[in-house]
Parts: sequence; C-alpha cells; structure tokens
Amino acid sequence: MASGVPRLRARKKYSKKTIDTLLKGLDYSTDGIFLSVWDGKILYHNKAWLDIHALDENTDLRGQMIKDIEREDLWPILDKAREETAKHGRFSYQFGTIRRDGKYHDVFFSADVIPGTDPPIVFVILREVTDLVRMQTEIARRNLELELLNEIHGAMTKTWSRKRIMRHIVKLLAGFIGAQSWGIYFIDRSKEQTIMIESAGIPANVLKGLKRIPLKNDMAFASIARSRRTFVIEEELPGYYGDDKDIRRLMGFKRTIGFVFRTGARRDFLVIFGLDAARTIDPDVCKFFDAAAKQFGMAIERVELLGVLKKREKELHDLTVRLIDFSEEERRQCSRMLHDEVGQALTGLKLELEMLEKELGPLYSCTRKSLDAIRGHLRLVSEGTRALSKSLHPAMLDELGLVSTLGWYIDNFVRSEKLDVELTAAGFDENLPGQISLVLYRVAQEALTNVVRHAGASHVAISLTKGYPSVIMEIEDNGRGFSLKQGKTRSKGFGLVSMRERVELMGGTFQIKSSRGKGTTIRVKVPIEAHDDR
Amino acid sequence: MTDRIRVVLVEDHTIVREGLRPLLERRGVEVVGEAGDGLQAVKIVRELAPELVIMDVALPRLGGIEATHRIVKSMPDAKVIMLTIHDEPQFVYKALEAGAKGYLVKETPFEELMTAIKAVMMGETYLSSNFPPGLIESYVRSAKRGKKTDEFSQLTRREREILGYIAEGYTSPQIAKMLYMSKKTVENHRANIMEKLAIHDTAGLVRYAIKIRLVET
Repeated sequence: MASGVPRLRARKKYSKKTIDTLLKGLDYSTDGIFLSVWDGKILYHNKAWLDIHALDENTDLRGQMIKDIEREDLWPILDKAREETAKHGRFSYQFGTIRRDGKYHDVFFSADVIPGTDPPIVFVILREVTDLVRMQTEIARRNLELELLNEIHGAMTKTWSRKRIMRHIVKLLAGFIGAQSWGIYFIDRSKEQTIMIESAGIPANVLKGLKRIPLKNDMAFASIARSRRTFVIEEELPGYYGDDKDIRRLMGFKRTIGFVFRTGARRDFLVIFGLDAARTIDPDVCKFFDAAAKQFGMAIERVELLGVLKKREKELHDLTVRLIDFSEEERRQCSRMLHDEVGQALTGLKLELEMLEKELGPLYSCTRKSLDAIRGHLRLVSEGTRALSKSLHPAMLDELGLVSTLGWYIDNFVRSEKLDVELTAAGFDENLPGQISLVLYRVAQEALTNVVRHAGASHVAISLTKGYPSVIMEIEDNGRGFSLKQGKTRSKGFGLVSMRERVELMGGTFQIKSSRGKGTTIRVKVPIEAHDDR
Repeated sequence: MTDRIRVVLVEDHTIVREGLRPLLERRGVEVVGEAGDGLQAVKIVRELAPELVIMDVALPRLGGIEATHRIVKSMPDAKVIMLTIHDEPQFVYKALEAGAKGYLVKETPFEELMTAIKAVMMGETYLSSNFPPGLIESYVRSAKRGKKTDEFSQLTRREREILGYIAEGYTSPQIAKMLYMSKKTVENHRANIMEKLAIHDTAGLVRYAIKIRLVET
C-alpha cells in the first residue's frame, strides 16, 4: 500500500518510507480505518475496515470511490461528515446499520481532516460497537424491569382491593411496553368464556363486544387461555374478536402482547395489551412478562388470602360469641335447676321435718337431737345450693332487673370500707330485654372485678341511662388506670375483650378510656330497638 | 284467734305446697285456694277474696312481685306475705314497693311464719328475723332518694330520643328530618321535655343530658 499519496508527500515532505511505515502500523488496528479525499478515491483502508463491511480480507479497494462502496442509505451521513469536517475539522456519529451479509450492527464513525492537505484528506475511523450498544440497552432495560418488578412487589404490601392491585400492576406494565390500551379478563373455564373486568384505551363501541367472549368463537383467545406463557400476536388472526369487528384494525394496532396469570384459588386471568404498529416487542420482554405474571399472580393471591383470613377471623369471632351465649344459657339452666328442683325440694324436706317434729311430741329426746342435726345439715345444703345458683346466674336479674341486681352485686362483692360505689340509674323502668340486661350485667361484673383487683380506686361511679334508641352504661373509677396497649384481659371468665365483642354483636359500642394514673372509664351503648325478645 | 284465717297459697312447687298446707291447717289457718303461677294467683285471689295471700317470688308466667302489685292495686286491703328462697334486700324492697306486707325466707322455721301471719293480720309489716333491723327504714330512704333524682323516668321514649339528639347539637328541623316528623311535633316534644324536667333553655337540656350521661362529654 505504498503508492498513491503524492500530495501528502509533496506538501509535507514526509518520506515515502515514513508514510508507508505509518500506514503499515494502521494495518493491524482493530478499528476500521481509511483515508480518502471526500467524494474521491480511497487512498488507504485496513483489514478491520474490510471486516466491518463484511468484505474478504484480501480485497483491495484503493482507487475506488467511497460512494460506490458504501450503501446509499449511508450517503447522508457521509455528506454530513464532509460538511462538518469542512467547518470544524472533525466529525463523529454513532449509528446502526445492516451489513452486506444482512447482520445488524452498531458503528461508531469518526472523521478527521489531516491538516495541511488540499483537497482535504480525511482520516476515518470506524469502530464496531454492536456488543457495547447491546449491552447498554440490555442494562437499561434490565434496570427498568427491575424497577417494575419492585413496584409490583411493592403493590403486594398494600392492603388494596384485588381490583385496585390488578389495575395498578397492569398500568405499570402498559407504561413499560408503551401500550395504547389494555384489558383484564377473567377466564371462566366452566363456561368457556372470558369476562372483561377492566380496561383502558378501548373505544366504547369496541368495548361492548369484549365483555364476554366465548372461547369456542375465538381461536386466539382460546389458545391464549390455554397457554401459560406470554404470547405476542404479530398478525391478524381470523376470528380474532369476532369476524366483523377486528379490534386491532378498528384501533390501528399491529401487535398484541398478553399473558395469563393464575392466582392461588386457581383462578386464571388474562391480560392483553394493544400496541401500535411502530412498536416492536423484544423477545426478552416476553421473558420479563412471564416473570411479572408470576409476581402478579402472587400479589393477587396474597390479597385473596387476606380476604380468607378476614373471613376466618369473623367466623372465630362469631364462634366466641356463640360460645359465650351457650355458656350463659348453660349457667342459667343450671342455676334454675338448682333453684327450682333442688332448692324447693330442700324446702319441702324442711317442712316435712317440722311436721315430723310436731307429731313426735316431747318424749323422744334422742330422736329430737338427731332431727336438729338433720335440720342443721339441711340448712348448710340449702345455703350452698343457693350460693351456687346465684353465682352461676343471678335469678334476680330475671326477676328484678338490672338495677336491683347491680345494686345487690355491688353491696355484696364490690363496696367496702376502701371503695365507695355510686350507682345512678336514669329512667330505668327495668323493662329491658333480658339479653341486654345480661350483657350489661356481665360487663359491669368484669369491670368492677377489675376495679377491685387492680385499679386501687377509692371511688367508682356506675351510671345507667335508658335513653332511646340506646341504653347507656358508664363505669368510671379514680384508680391507677392502665395503658391500653398492655390492657389485655387479666380477669378470669371471658374478659372485657369478649364483652366488647358481645356488645358489638348486639349493634352496640364499647369504649375504654384509660391511661396510667388517670383512672378508667368504660362506656357501653346498646340499642334497645333490635332486642325485643324478652 | 277464734276465726279461722282464710288463706290462698301461691307456690309453683307442689312439694312446698304439700309441706306447708298441713302445717298451716294444724294451726287454724284454712287454705281456701292454691295457685301455681302469678296469673292464676291474681284470678283466684279476686274470686275468693281471702284474708291473706302467701306468695312465692319466682313464679312462671307472672312473677310473684308483679302479681302482688296487681292484687294490691285492685284490692287495696289485700294482705300479701312473700315466702321465698331469695334473701337479698333488693327483693324485699321490690316486694314492699309492690304492696306486700310481709317477707319471709323459706329457710326460717315454720313458727316464724305463724308470727308473721299474726303480725300482718294486726296491720303490721313483718320481715324475716334474719334481715338486719332497720331494713324498712333504709328502704324508705332509698325510695325517697330514687324519686327525687329520677325526673328522667317521666319522659316518654320519644322524648328521651329527642333529648339525646338535642344534646348532640341537632336543631329541631334536623331532628324532624331524622325522625320523619314535622318540625312542629319536634317543638312540642321539646316543650314537654322542658316542662317535665323544669329546664327552660337548650343549654340546660344539654347540661342535664351530660349529667345523666345520656351523651358523652
């Protein structure tokens, strides 16, 4: 490659040998290099340059015109390069192009005018950057995907409704691939159809036809519904959305991408995105969508599980209340049994005994002694029975009502020298449904037990107000109070927590106000209307 | 006691009735009728007009205290002695309030029932000796106190409901809308409430409702 650079040599007086040595060095560069006069003959090119052009390494193109060799679609770049180098002495540009062998590649092109040449000789370097560009694009996309997966994952920690989570995630994915429209469908396997749940960007007239699509009428939907992978439809398929109304033609779509995701309850959902013609879908995007679909399914599954959990909690709650009611009923029956059967039989026995004593007359002193002993035992048994009956369920509540019973309870179990108890009842005619009386009585019992055991109070005030529509009970003490966070049930029995549930189940409200050193106030409000069951 | 005293025995347990009857009759008390529940008791007592009723508290259909109340209401001279298992003072108060003249616990010896019968027949009030002395006095005191604090009982349920709304800060038109009644009706109720409670302005009503804890502060 020695000859053919006469001007260079002429002007600068470099020896031919010097120039040849310089050019020899360029022969082995990994970058493609050529020297030329713009619109003139190629003065020099190296092997790497041939390689970038997908030409045989032994080809010698010296003396040929550049534009004869470069493809026409690159001429604008060459023209631009000539302009820019004329102005600034140099020019660089990165572009993607298809090689002679049909392979796409990215190239970095830089041109410098060699100073002192006239007409200017340019020194051009072509660098193959295909791999670099691919890597950069890949990294950018991966980053975006990662961000997106993160967002989807973030949606999992929210306590949104299933529909809201679906919408959120689908919107993110739509933004990611630049979709114009999207639709979420439930695949109803039993009826072999898809049911649209939500959509965006689909015109109203088209939307109507999409509400329910029988799978047997629609090949594409049928195959999609069967597939477990992300799919891309590049062409129109016959029967897609029905013969006469091809949604994509209506909306100018060229491509459709979609996936199926499955939730824990083995329910399948179909998500379809519509893209306009200019968008391309990278095969790697499909892989990402597969991954996203899994996350999506998990997010929805979590919401569904939370729903189930809530239902279970509710069931447990109901069960607890039923258990309390059942236990109350048992207690009531047991108490009644003791009072009616055992108690009255004991009274009868006592009377028989007295009759016997009278008939015996004064002679039998020994017998009289043992009769006395029997009467003593009888009294003990009577007392025990009555005490047991009362502790199970105070008959007084049924006979005399809430205020009297509370009064009795306070006199016997709460009031003491250290604890002053005040009971006020406004408007109590005692015509309170039995269920409400019992609940209020139990709440008061629990609360007062707590006051006696833990509060260290000197005063407690209980007020009962029978207003309408609710009966209100307030129990206020001046004790040491407690922090509500630690205030778990400390009493035996069912505790205030269960009482709260029971009150709430009757449609009432239950409030506790307490803080350390400031006493405790319990306020219960139960509507009267709903409980006319006495 | 020359005349035999005519008595109606109200007791739902046969075993007790059967134990009591011969004991009474040995002592010259004639059991002219028996009843097993409160409603029956009221009916029989009205028919037979006995000099004395011995009444249990816990009775089916109608409780003994309510039955006593009805009997005394229609026959003010009727004498009722409660004979029951319940030994709590609350029962005694209620029984006396209903018009009973005596209160005995079943546990007491039969002789005491005879003492009670005699006392009641003489026009006295008799309570079982196992109650502390002064129980009647404390009952009278608490009855007085109860009457004084409880103007609220005089309000009808509608008035109570409206008082609640007033105290929560609702205006008459708002209450009218909520309760599907005319504004004028609400105003009437309001006037009645004020009259019954002897309170003459809204602020006073609110204070009263707070005092009796009808609303939260």
